[in-house]
Amino acid sequence: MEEAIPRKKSNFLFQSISHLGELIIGGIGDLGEMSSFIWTSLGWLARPPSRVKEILDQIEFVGNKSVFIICLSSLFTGMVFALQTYSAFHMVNSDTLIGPTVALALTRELGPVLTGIIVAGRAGAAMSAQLGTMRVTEQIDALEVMGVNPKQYLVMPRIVACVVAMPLLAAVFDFVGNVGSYILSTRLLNIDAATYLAKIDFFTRPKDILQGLIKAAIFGFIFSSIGTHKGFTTTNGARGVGIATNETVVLSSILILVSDYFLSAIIKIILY
Amino acid sequence: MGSMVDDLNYAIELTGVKKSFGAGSNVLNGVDLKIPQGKITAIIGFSGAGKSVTLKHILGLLKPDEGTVKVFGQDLGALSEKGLNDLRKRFGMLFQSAALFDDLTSIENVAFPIREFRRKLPKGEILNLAREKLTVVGLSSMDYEKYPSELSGGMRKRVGLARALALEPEILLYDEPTTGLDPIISEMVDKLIVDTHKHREGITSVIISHDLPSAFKIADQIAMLDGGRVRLFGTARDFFESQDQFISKFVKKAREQE
Repeated sequence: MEEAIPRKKSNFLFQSISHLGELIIGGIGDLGEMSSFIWTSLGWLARPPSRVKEILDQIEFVGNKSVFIICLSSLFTGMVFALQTYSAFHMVNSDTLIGPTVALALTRELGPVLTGIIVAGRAGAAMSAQLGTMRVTEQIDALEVMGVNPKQYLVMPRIVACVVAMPLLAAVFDFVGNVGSYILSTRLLNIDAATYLAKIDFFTRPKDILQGLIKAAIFGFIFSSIGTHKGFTTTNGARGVGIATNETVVLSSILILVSDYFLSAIIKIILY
Repeated sequence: MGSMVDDLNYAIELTGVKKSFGAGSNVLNGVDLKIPQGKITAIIGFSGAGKSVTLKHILGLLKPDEGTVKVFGQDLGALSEKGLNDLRKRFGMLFQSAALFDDLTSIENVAFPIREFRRKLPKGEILNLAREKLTVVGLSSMDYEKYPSELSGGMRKRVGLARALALEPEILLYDEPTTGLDPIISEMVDKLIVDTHKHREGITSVIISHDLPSAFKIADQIAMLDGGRVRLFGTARDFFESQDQFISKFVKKAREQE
């Protein structure tokens, strides 16, 4: 009996390590499989037939149809950010720094990150659900049987569209967010409009905007890759579609936030 | 030279095809099947007998672990991706669920393969061809602009068949064409299959089904899969006269269903 307890403990330890190992190996395998999926899909960009129409359709879906929600979110993000910044800056008599603070935060970080999370929730989830439904209802098989490559027809246009549309949406977010902050600061907080704009002009450089746009393109690549891969590999009917959609939103949001840190660090070395 | 002629007489040849998914689960256990050109061949069997896996091998969607699959004498295993895609253009397939693209209308669904592979055709001509195919399968013009979700099961099958016929295929594959349909619609689909076959000279039709009465009624030849192998390949008469107990049981069930 006395020997049984340590054996139990060692069994538990062994099982835990083994389980962790399985998780890591599984994760690496999944990552490898997804990389190969994206690589082969993007390889179809250079091969005929051209899919310009499909790419433009997707840009319209990801870009145009997200403009309203991006405008609404960014307007209030800019306003609330200015309001909170005012509470702090007013204490040290630096109200005029609200403009550049909001502008830098929006262009460098909030613009691309929030645009990424919002569009991942809207378009990324929609991609996953649509491709997942097409998979379980044999529509993807039908394409393949017809001799139409489904990665070229369905996956590649979506990834390209997100990489193209995301910087444009992030630019809209930056602009509308700053407009929101400007209106609140100059109308409600009584900050001089000319000083507000002059400070933004003094502190904000084109490379601050550029880094946000680069990040937005990378976030677009991340969530579109996850969404298309999860949708394309869906199994188990309607339940599978639900799981794929859920995983797309969760994984995209986490990866956008995590990769934002590393991208900021890399861009700081390259651009500044 | 003799074998060349022999190859050309068969649209599809499966030789010793084995396939397993994971250890110890052999779905196909050495399938030998030669499907003649210009005939209606049914592949029947109980659920899990390997019918759908056989179909995926014929289409080149799955590769056999052992054995070869030839279509029009071409070994699918030796074909490049492009070669396989080119060969698939000679196929038309009606899926069990019809697998219509749900964001396209009926006419757009039928026009899709034409638009994809005959890119130089003017839009009007593509639509005319699509209309022609929809008329052949008996769909009225009122339904051309309807989305798949607005069509009944039987109508969806018709549109699916029209889409399968769009590129004038040499081999038509039907995956469980009557599953889930009521007896009247099933009979209509059977008639559609026979009519489609009759009106296209030299076309090879392959039906994957577990609807035994309909297979016995419309097929020239029937292959019965059991345990991942072909148990019997012959005419309906061969099945009725078979002394094999398993086959007799199967035939008896089919007669009861009739």
